[in-house]
Amino acid sequence: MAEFSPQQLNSLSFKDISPQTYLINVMVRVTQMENSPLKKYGYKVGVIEFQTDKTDREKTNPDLILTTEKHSHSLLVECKAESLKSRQLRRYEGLQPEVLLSYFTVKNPELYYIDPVIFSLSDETCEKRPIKDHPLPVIVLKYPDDNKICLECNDFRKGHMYSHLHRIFSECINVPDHILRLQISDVYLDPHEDCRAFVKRLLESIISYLLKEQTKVIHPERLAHYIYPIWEAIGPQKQDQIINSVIEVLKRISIYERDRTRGKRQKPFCEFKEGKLIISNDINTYEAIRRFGNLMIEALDVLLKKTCEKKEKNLTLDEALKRKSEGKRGELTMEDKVEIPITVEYFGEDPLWKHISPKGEHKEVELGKGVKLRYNRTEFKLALGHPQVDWFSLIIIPFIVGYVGHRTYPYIDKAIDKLVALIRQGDIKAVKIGARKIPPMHYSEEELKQIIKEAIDEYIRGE
Amino acid sequence: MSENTPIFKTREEFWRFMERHISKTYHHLTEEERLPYKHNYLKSYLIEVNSLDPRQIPEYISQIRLRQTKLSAKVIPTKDPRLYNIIITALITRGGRTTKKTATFYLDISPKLPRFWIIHTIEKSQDADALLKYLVIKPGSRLDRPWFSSNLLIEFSKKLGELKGLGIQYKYSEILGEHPLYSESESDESVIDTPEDPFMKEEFPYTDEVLASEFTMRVWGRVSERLLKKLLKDKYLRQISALSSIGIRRESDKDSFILEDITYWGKFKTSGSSFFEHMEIIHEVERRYLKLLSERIESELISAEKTSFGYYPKGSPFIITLQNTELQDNPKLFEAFVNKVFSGRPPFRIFGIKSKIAKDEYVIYGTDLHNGDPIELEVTPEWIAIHLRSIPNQNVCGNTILRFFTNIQRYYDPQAVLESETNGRILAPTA
Repeated sequence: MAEFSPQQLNSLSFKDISPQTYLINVMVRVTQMENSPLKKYGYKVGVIEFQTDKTDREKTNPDLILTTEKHSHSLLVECKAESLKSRQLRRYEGLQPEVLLSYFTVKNPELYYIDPVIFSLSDETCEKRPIKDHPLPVIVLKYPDDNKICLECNDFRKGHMYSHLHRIFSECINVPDHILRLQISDVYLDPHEDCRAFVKRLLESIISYLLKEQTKVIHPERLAHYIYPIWEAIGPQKQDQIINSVIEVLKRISIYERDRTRGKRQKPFCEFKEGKLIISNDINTYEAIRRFGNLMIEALDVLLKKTCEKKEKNLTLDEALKRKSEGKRGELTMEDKVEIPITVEYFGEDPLWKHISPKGEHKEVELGKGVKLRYNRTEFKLALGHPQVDWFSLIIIPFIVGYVGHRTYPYIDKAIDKLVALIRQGDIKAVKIGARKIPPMHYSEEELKQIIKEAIDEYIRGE
Repeated sequence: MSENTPIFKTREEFWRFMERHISKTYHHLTEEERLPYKHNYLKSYLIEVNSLDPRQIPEYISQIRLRQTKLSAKVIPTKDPRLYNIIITALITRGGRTTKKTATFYLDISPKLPRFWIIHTIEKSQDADALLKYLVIKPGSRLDRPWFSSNLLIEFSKKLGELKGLGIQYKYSEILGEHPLYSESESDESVIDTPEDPFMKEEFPYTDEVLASEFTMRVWGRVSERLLKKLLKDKYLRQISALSSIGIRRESDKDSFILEDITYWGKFKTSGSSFFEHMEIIHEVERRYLKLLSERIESELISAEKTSFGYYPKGSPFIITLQNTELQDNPKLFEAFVNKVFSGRPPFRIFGIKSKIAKDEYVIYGTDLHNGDPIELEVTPEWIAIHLRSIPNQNVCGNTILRFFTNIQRYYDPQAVLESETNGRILAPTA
């Protein structure tokens, strides 16, 4: 084999996909890579995201089944990024190999047995209660320090593959720097970590489909083959789930396009009809798909942001898309504003108390269009908004651009001036904004304004 | 179209004519030091074809939609089913005036290497280059050129004959400088089926501190080899020495020789005494290129092999390691680079939805516009990982990788290295 010069680590990482998807792709990669110890024993990817045909109470859903036909054995890999459930592990323990034999053929079915294994990103998994109760082997990806997969606790079943598997994982498997971008696990169009990657690959696949098949009709099932390079290896239930999500996106492109062209002298470039997307096939269409892609990603971003989740509990993807595509403008509503709680601690008796709110009631000061300061004895609430900018600029730009400053909130300086003036009047020990505790007496007035502005910025960005 | 451009009925006729033509070219050049009016070099172009039948060319070419140009083609078969006369016409309207450009080509299909068409012509280079460009430029055309990286051209120069000429075109400024990409190309290309230029000129974070914004050089003669060695030895010059062409002299005996100029995108310009030697050179280049493509690139595409109990994923990503450090610690320049390269415009032709996942890392969900291959790239200032995935029952073309790499060398980093896990270093700078 030719020598492969190692690249800098951190290729891909899981910055645009979920840890679970990353783990699935890592395990596929170490099974097929050059010099793979698993490949040596003939392990191949049997099924990705498998589900046994059982009732909900009994079913097991391994993320990956690696099977060696030659040695009549399967590894059932459960990729776990976060929580483990005892019920789930109990089902794995009780799973009979015969169930899987209805899906595979192996050389010696009478010898066939299975090994469920937990594949995790954290060595703390071994400390979890469910693992202590159900001691399945835990293998951990030591990322990013070593980029190795090692057996962390418990052990494989005592069968004819025991010594091999024990040795392979005890000695650790080196993971190549560049894994394959194969599976995208979460395909729901809810705010999941994979949803953006799924939508992007789906939209890119539409363009591939149009160019490759020289067609104007897109069938969701065929499109899925473009999205998933090893589509056939994906479990049937997962395939159904993927196709449903594909249909959802195709329908949305069609709705978006219909809305976009309504009342204009333009023809929509696509229409979803009888389970297919009828679409024109030219560079303008590809451009429109790219535009829609960017819009959709921004809408998904809205759903993903914690603040928005908190503020807009019932916001659906379609609403987010609609808002984005309309570039909503106009008067600021209460739903549109960001409210920042600011609490204060006093050294002794509070002279400010009497000054600003003698009866302890809330006071509200309008500091300019869209900016209000509401406060009582110990708490200030700064409500920010701007009637001239659209909702997305208001909520999203600060997250992306990373500052609140003049561009997004032109009245913020005025609000901060007022706030600092009030703080200066009192014998205040500390001002708390989000996670920041600011002792005002340590700073000059200008410094204090700057620090408060930064703290507000951090709060809005959810830091 | 030249008045003396013939239409052939047989391969024998074609072969004799070409033999005479290149001898005349050589004679004119040696005796008169220039070519007479309307006598042009024989030029042969390699075109990578996936599925087009030559008889479908008129229909195919009539479907190409341009704003200012109307294209048509006529195919006249010869008695040999592997040789066709093709006349391509472009009616170009500019400012209310229409001009006509016509050129005759001879399409030659080798039975051994059908993946590449050889298209010959004795028309003017400018017309022939422009008209052939239309053939490959249409999105989804499944037609492409071969792409010879600097390393590959050097390899050809060592194996095919004696190095007699050298061309260098390093075009950094076109991708990261003041000029739009492909500024020298025909104006129609900017409107043809390609998206708008995503970057305004004045927004370019262009800096005067670059090693060189452009380096163009052309030399013919014995000094070529010496010059090439000097360029590759020098620490700074090798960083900007992107080879665009090589000149070769090859002879089998005293009376049978050829002078060949091979361009990085598969154009062969020739004079000499033997058409046979000319064809030998083309076939040799084809064989070497195909070997590289099939054994070291297409064997690595991401796919899955079906087995009796599941699937075995195959392939690994291709990695381009960049030696040029201009993009490092320069987010604006890096962003400009990503926007330019993945806009879908020639020569990269990768149309992508980009996703910034870190300060200095993008993931591009892309499509190769030449044939629709799905391609995902992770792009950083230090390396680029390319995942080209296959689709069941569809051809996926490894030429995409070589096109991308060759143009990265030409526009940004002549010292870039292409490698993969299984095949190790595939293309690396010659020491």
